Amino acid sequence: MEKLFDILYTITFNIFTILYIVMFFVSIKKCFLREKKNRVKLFFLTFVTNPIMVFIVTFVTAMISCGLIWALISGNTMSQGINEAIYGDTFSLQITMVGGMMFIALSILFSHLIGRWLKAPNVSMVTFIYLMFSVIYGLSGSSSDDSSSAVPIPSSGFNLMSNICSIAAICLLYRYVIRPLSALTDKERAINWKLFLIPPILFLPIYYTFDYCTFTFGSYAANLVSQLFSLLVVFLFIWAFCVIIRNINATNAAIEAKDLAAEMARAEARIEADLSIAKSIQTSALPRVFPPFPDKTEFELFASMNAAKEVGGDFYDFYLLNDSTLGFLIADVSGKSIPGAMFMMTAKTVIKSLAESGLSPAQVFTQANNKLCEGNEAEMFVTAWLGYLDLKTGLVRAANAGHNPPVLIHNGKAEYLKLRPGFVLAGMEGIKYKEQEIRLEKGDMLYLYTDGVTEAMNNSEDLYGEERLKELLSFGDEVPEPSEKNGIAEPVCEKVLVDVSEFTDGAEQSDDITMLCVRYMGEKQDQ
Amino acid sequence: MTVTTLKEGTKLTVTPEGKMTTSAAPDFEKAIKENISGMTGLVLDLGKVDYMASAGLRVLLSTAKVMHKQGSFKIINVTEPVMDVLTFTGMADIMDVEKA
Repeated sequence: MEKLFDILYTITFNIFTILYIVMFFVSIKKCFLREKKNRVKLFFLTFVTNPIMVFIVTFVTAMISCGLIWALISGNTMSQGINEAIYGDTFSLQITMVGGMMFIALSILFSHLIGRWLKAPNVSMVTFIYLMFSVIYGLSGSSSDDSSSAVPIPSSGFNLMSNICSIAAICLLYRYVIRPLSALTDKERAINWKLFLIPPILFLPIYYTFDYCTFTFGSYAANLVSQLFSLLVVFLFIWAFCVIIRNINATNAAIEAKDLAAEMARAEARIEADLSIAKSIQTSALPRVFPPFPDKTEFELFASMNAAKEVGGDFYDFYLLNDSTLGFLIADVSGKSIPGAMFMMTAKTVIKSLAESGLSPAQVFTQANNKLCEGNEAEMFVTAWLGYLDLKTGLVRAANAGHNPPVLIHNGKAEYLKLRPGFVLAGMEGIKYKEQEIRLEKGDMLYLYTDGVTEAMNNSEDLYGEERLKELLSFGDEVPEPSEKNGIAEPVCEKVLVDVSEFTDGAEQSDDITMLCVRYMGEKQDQ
Repeated sequence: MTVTTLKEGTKLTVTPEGKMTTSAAPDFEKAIKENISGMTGLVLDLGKVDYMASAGLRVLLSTAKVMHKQGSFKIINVTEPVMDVLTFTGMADIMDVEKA
């Protein structure tokens, strides 16, 4: 039975040694080649820094130095000193201690220097880890040969088990420590390698103390305990390294999340900047000088557009088509943001040029609709209301393309003009629009608006609504104070804006609030 | 906005629920787009919709255009406020719309 264990022990020991060297080579290669250095250097490196080589070198150095010191102290020759050191009892413990300490110190130095020489810091990391591992392995062998039969387990059996565990440990080291580590170094993050000093610094003094005690008292039971402890330490090491790596990963994830958040904030700021430019283009495209035709006293005219945060698509327009005809328009594009604004500009231009070419409102819409259907891939549409006011007679000829019905204010009383609705512009080709007529008497007002007014929402999601607008505009005898240049058209518009603002009470504006108010003042009186 | 869809052979019924605001319309559009291919009949049940913004109208219009090539399109259970909007935008004339 003993013989079997011995054979197995030898086999497993050799497997472990080979595995260890191979794993070391593979690990270095993973890190080294990632940093794109050449293979010859790699081979040389693994040969020189192979922990087993280092192990031999340091222990030999330890033996020689201990021997020398002994020789100096006791006055013997150097060769005697070394002899004593290797074979004598006195110093074997000291040699183990000193050798061990030197090994650790040299490991740290070695790893660091290799990394510096090759300019490959992850190589020093891997070297260091393997060296640390080998410290533990080296120390986990039996401390004494005392094979007392007090314990039933043969020591060679125990050593076999120890080897098997070491094989397992080296595989675990590679899978859970080295591979994540090399993945980490891929991302070019600076790893504070000093973190990896912590496990050795914590575990080794405890281990040494333990080992010293068991060696001194030298019983088999103590030896067994010491070996179990050292096995435990091997696995604890691997676990400690894993924890460190996990920590590094977490820190990196946090850094990456922060970077991403910063990038997103920058992208958002860019979009906001673009939107505000688009909005200023849109706003400046709308005529804002009132009165637009100061010489014309036959009417009062005022209009306003309050854009929502996102560039919307509301617009208004007016033109003096000839000396006695005022054309006025209000419209709402269904698209938002930059595509909506562009479509708005197109629609405004198309309608204006058609109106100025002498067509009636219905004809303008019929032709504009077909023009706007062309190339309208985004499938936006426009609702619009266009009217021509005859300044001599007060007759308004109008066409409606799916827009909200305007309000007619006569003698301070407001009513909706719910005439025949037409379909929206740019929705479908070939639609023929029909004209409607409204007779304005002197002093009558037409109030046009977009759904930004009637669909303004407060925090309880109530809508402002058509009723509220109608009531507000029915000012009865309490005629608003005329403004300096725009009669009561301007204060009426202001009144609605203020009321809507009070209603929404700080809730975010979701749509452009646009309105146009025109008041017929009668035919021009010749002075 | 929650949108439930029901497929019976080549007939699709879509039932949105809530206010069809500008921000809700994309969910509505997505639900239709994901289920519309190959359907020969589409029924839109607007019984649970009490508000229609122009973004919603846009979805209705583009859906009508698609179904015009594929089959039939009907809007049922339209509530009063939505009916008003469909009327004055002329959509009620162009599409098959039924009041609630």
